[in-house]
Amino acid sequence: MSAIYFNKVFGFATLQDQGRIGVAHIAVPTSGAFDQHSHRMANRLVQNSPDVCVIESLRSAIEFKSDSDLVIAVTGAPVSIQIDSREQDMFCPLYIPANATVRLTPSLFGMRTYLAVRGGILGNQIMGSAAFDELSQIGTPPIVTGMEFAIGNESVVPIPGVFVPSSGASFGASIELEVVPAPRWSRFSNPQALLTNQFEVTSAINRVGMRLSGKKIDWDTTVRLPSEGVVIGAIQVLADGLPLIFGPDHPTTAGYPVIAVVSRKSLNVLAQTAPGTKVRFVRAR
Amino acid sequence: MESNPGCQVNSLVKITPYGWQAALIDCQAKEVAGVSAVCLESGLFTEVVPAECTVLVCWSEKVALTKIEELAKAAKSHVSVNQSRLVEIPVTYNGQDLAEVAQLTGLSINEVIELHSGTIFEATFAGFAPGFMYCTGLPDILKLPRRLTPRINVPAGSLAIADSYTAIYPLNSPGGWHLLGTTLSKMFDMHASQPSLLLPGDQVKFLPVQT
Repeated sequence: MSAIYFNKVFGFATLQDQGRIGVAHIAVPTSGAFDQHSHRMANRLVQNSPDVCVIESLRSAIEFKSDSDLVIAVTGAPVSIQIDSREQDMFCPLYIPANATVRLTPSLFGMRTYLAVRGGILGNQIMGSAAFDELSQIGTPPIVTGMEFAIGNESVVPIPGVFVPSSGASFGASIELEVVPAPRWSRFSNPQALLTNQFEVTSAINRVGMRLSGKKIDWDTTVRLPSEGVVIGAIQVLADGLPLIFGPDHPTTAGYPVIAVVSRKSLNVLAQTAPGTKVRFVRAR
Repeated sequence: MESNPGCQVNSLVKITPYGWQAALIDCQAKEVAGVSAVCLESGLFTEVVPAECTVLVCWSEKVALTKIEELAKAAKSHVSVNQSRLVEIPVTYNGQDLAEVAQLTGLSINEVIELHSGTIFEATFAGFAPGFMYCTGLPDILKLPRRLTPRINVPAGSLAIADSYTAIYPLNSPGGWHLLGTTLSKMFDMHASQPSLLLPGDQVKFLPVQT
């Protein structure tokens, strides 16, 4: 069986797939790829089924090689890809000869890059998924220098010459996120404040959640609210009146009121959004 | 569940869409187990997440709100207490806060132990950490607010109380609850086919053991 060996990893790179389904009632987060569009596209380019385990790299510098020939594809946040020092392209299948060195160097645009290997990367299966869950610290541990993973060999269909355009994420200075009101919308004295004001992504962001700064959204913090189940994309308003958007590793239950929910499509954009980006919430039609 | 004149089960159940692929069912605390069990049995949902007085249901294939309402109504006749399994967990009552709990409640240490181990709790919902199960049924006299200063590390297997709950910390973690004892039972095993020893709806009894 072929394997992939990491010579160098600087940064936060994890294995991600579709995540853990059906375990939220025992407080295990779903986890899984943050930018699902890029995850699916990377797999599609190497003829894997869409949920197969890939690398999710948060602006990491990664160098790896394999003892056998590989086919890979890279999607999501822009990176420079080199195979034995020769520049390559994202968004297409790449043939990697055995023992060639592959190097990914992050750019300053976007946040998360996805690398699929034909056949899939085999991580530690925990509760039906190899995904690393940043909140509960379960799954395959983050990839560090010296780690090695076996490559699956399920897909054998020939690779057509394909190319898909990038996710369309603009990586711009401002983004719009599509939302619908959540069950606790009416608990806020002026919930429209979410839609009328502009917010900014802070540096307090990870796979669990992303904190925003901006104008406060008022609610009565003297009332103790019972904890309740939350979904990915839920916008919780904390005691300080500022929003926090839940990512794939969000806790299964939470105690602050949720004002609205970000669409899954907008979450793919959010997964690529850097601190300092201006955010506007628009009501989904 | 006995019908209670003050508790209009059906009219109090409220169902609200939650994003694109979920709905939140608001109900009374005592209805959570029943609603949750019926939703789980329906096989329609990818997740059924009970909490204090809500049940979150998530789907990958659209489920109509009227169908969810039907399920919630069916929960009325669901007898959760008598049908659920009883899980007995051996515990050594040697917690660091036992003496303080006795002092705060005006009970003796033995009375605290007798009261806690003499109660049958219900595992109501999970949260905070994998396998951390909030168990309800704590006698009123043992209801204390959380500690002012949480501990940075509470060892796995610690039995604790806070507010109206008792729980066992499944993994080493920070924690602000009052520690009553410890168990050697593994509360959460990520490699097991059923990772959590306790599931929502279980009846739970703590058996005092000497060490």
